[in-house]
Amino acid sequence: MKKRSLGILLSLIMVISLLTGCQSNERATEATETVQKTEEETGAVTSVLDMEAYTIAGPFPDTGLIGFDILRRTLELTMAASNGTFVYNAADLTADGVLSFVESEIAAGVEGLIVTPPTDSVLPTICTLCEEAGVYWGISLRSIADEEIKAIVEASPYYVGNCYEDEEETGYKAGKWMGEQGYKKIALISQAKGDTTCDAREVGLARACEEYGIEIVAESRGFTQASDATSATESFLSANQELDAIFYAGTAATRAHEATVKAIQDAGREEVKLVTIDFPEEMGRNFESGIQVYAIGLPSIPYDCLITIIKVINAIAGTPINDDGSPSSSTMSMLEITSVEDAFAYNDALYAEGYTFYDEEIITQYLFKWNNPDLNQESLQAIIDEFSPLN
Amino acid sequence: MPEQIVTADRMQGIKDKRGKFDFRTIFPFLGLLFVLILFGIMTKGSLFSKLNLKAVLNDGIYVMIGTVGFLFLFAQGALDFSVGANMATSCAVAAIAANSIGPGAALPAALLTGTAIGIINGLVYTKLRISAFITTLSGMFILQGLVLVILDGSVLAAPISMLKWFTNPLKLTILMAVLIIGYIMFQYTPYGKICKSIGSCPEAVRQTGINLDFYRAIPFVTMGLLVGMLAFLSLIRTGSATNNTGGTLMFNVLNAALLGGLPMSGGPTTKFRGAIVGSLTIAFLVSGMTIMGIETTDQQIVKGIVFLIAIGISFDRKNMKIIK
Repeated sequence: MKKRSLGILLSLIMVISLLTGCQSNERATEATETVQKTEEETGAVTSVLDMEAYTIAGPFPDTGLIGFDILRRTLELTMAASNGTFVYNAADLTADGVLSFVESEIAAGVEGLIVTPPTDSVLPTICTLCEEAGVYWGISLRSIADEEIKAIVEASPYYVGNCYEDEEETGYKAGKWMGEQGYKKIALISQAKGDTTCDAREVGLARACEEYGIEIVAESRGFTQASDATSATESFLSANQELDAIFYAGTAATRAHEATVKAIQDAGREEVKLVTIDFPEEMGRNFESGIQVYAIGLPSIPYDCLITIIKVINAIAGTPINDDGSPSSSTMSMLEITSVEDAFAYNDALYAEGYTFYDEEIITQYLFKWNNPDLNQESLQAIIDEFSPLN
Repeated sequence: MPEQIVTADRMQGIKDKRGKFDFRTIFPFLGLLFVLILFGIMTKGSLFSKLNLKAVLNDGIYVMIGTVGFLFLFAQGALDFSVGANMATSCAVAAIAANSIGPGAALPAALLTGTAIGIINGLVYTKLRISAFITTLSGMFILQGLVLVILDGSVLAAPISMLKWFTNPLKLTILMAVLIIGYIMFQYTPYGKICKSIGSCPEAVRQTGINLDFYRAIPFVTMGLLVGMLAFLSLIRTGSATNNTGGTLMFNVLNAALLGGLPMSGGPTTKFRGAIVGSLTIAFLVSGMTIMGIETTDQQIVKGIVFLIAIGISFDRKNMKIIK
């Protein structure tokens, strides 16, 4: 009786799976047909009225950073203006996690993806998956360091390009500033080696350290939470009595910088300064404490995610940034903050209620190529270069 | 009078034939059915699309193979917390072998490393008489540090040519081989039967003259070998080895095992089908939630609740001993 019951149950499972599988490829088929229809019948989107509904997904880390809230608001405007939907799915940013995210979202029927690869090695697989599914994709917050992989990826017709920061130059500028202040001994906080962003920043930093005679006396990597920062800072302070500064090349832990400031204050070692790449959430307060003295970072971290998404949207619409469909690479200029006034002005701009990177009018008129046929790699770069929350 | 007796006997026979209704036995199947129906409807069939089934296979293969390895441990009432760290270490060694010797060295390096770690776990458990809980938990911390040393805190890429190896035929071949061999070993060989007997009463097994230490250590070796295989699969899928490799393996495998109705107390009620049913349930559950756009943080809450329900229903409170 038991075996019969189990047999009936298993049969039910099989039957139901067969029935529900009848619609299996409907969304994917619809998406493919939509893209083909757009390309064949209209050549390209000429107005938002031609734009079929589409979905783009992005694996943003759920760090609670204000920048990602701003991105959400900006994307609401962007998607509403282009008949799109954005799926925010805070994916595990390990190699397996990113691949799982890509496969799952492709299976869910998205038309576009943006990814932030933890290593270059996952990119050929992502490239193949997106090509097979006809999904446009781009990279944000990263550049491709491996030349062989870069050639493979850039040859794909579905890769739209990336938007990233010149991390090596950023690291150099931060190191140069510290050298000009006379710092000689610093502690380094960074991500695990192999993180392309931090590796590049450290290369730039190393160049400045050699030029100005700065010694890295201690380092700690891979924080996952603020308490890691507290522990590391306490260790740095107790082991190094002549420390000039703690330098953050990068961290994924929320409020790690603030934890470092507090740890310095609690230890009574206010002469040890905090220098960061990327802007802390409480940067104004950090500067006001007198401990943070320099920060260099993106005008807003997820801004380059927006640029990559714009590229994907234009590709889906049949109006890629580069007319020949080749991928476009855009760089972000870094903003330097060295005073309390600028730190607060930056924070005030960012935390202003309803703040978005651009309003709907600018997005619609300048960032959609079907409304702005002059949009290309150079003009997009000019738009990016002009962006600043302080303006 | 005889007619009344016949009637009474017939009633008694019907009751005996029906037996007692055991919800714990059919719960795993009900759970899988529920997940498939619910998400099949809510995703409008996307759950069973070719693309999604491929994605489910890519994620589920880790859980399924890991759960087969866990089966032999569960049967004895033991656990292995070091599987994730073992996978990371084996993957790192495989990546080094692939870069220094050649891509062909990756698989043997991964298998040997995983097996060696399993042997160490087994020896510490049996010879030093340290509980599996402590042994493998300590092993987890040691291996997590070791992989950072091996990789110099970094990420190590494998030769790009290896990415082409991660094909459906290879995955399916490995998966079917593990399932078939695992099933035969668990159901029909003395190894499997003795594992269940140890879970039931180790002293009785010892009294029969069987080498108890040997059969208590072997499941760790089996687990290590399978984890080595998973490390190789991860390497050819992602093209890199990091200290985060296998980070979620332990939780997913444990969740799958419990969803499949495998009792933590071990013993003869440990069924092979539980490994398959539980793995499929967790794989489709996660896939279904992702297709529906449920955020990762909410998915964690759902998985936690499902884990709690699975424990609550399948936990054998009468026969539970201290975890060995």
